[in-house]
Amino acid sequence: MYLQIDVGGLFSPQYQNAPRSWDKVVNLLSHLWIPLVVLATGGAAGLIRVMRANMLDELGKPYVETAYAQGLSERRVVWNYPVRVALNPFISTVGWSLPALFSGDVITAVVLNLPTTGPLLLQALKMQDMYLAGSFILILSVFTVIGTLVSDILLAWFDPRIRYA
Amino acid sequence: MQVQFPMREGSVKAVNGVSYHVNKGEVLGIVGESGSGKSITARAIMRLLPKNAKETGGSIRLRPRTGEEFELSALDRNSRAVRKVRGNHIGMIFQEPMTALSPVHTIGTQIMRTVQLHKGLSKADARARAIELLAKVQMPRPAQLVDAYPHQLSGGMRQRAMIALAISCDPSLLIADEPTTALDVTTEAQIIELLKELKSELGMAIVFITHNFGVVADIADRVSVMYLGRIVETADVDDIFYAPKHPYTRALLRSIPRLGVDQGRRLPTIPGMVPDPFSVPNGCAFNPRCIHAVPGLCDTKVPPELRFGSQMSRCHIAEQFAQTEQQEPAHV
Ligand SMILES: Nc1ncnc2c1ncn2[C@@H]1O[C@H](COP(=O)(O)OP(=O)(O)OP(=O)(O)O)[C@@H](O)[C@H]1O
Ligand code: SF4
Ligand SMILES: [Mg+2]
Repeated sequence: MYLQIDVGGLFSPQYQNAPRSWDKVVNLLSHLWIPLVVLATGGAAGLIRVMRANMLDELGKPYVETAYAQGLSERRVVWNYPVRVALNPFISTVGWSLPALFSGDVITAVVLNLPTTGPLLLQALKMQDMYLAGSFILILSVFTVIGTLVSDILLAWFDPRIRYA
Repeated sequence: MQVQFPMREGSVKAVNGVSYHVNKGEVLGIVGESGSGKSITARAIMRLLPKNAKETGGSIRLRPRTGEEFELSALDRNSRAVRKVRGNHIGMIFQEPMTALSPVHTIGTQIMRTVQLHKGLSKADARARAIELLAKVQMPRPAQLVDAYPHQLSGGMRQRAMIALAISCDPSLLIADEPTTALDVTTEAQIIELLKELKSELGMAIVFITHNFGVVADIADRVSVMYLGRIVETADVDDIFYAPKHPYTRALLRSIPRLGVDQGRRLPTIPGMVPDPFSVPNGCAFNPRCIHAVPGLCDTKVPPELRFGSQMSRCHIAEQFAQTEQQEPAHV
């Protein structure tokens, strides 16, 4: 217990086995925000770095200068042109958050004692339960493939150069 | 006009007292080797200098057809006033048609954005205007290609689209920064022809930047030759070719092949290299490479602007060229 906040698990002990109720939902939400912040900032930090590198590349391109030369304001230039192009690699990797969604982050889950599938896989590997671990990884792979497909579809919708290639 | 780049190794005087004017319906050609400051001068007019550039003096004035007068040099890079000038009174064409158009928007969208911004047209009107502009720059099938993305067009077609974008608001001044350098010679000739037609049709002034003298002879009315951030000679196009009064211009002209003249030897090149911009030589910047250089004079004193009618030369011995011309005119 830190700062009088109970961070581990999904529920406080008294709600662990209690029947469903509004109080239980509120209790769940009060536990959920910590893994949410941890997973979101962790993921966002990675994506922001990708986005930043892309933007730095794009801002120096001649078409940005053309946009300025048309008389558009700095804000319209940046949002309409380089951001549109820099978003591409972002979109192409966003599909991978689908398997991550399913497995959760193993470390976050173990540290915060969350009953996601991450610790389950870890357990299975530790116990050498190869059937469980194998099927688990198969499921993750299927999600990765589906996620990539979703990314590709989004990408084609977003960037005409990919659509016609 | 003066522009410097303060850098760790010292200050680069990219543009060092360049001065020119261009009148309505006139084409001013600007010639010079790579790095002589041609593009930086053009960007200073557009107020689109790189962020690390520092303007250390000078003034830029524009009097468009509408009769207002703009003191461009007083305007800030991203001010509202300068945005009203860009794209509206001044159009700009860039060197690289491959990358100068946004890859993720149709050419129609890009043209429409400009006319909607400056002329306040509705979407439908703007689209009609875009098609009309594409027709004007002789784009084939304008009604269909208005919805094409840049990667679906050839280099020449992209440059036409770029021109359509630049003239979309009937600018009074068109700045073309090496618009044909990336194109093959046939397309180059077509684009030049198109620019000439547009000039007489719309009556705009054109600043045409290039390092190709052949192109200059074709399109320009007057020519300015730049060397290391200075204009060394300005003259009517005929005088540049038949009565050049600066050794640098003469050297440049000698180093281009001429049809029907069997020179019977290799083309002469200019000796030496362009000095690096951190250490521009004292006196006349051209003196280490100049075959006419006068020791004691050329390497100490910056030559003044000497005028011969409408011709200007920054060379201490320009007088001599003027005299020899009278005895045996026009050969070089
Ligand atoms: N962003 C920058 N930072 C520092 N120096 C620069 C920058 N841009 C240009 N320069 C310097 O300014 C000088 C003039 O460059 P400019 O682009 O005007 O040449 P140019 O005459 O257009 O050449 P080219 O024919 O190759 O286009 C160069 O010597 C270059 O070193
Ligand atoms: S001033 Fe001297 S060095 Fe410069 S171009 Fe003239 S003769 Fe050559
Ligand atoms: Mg240039």
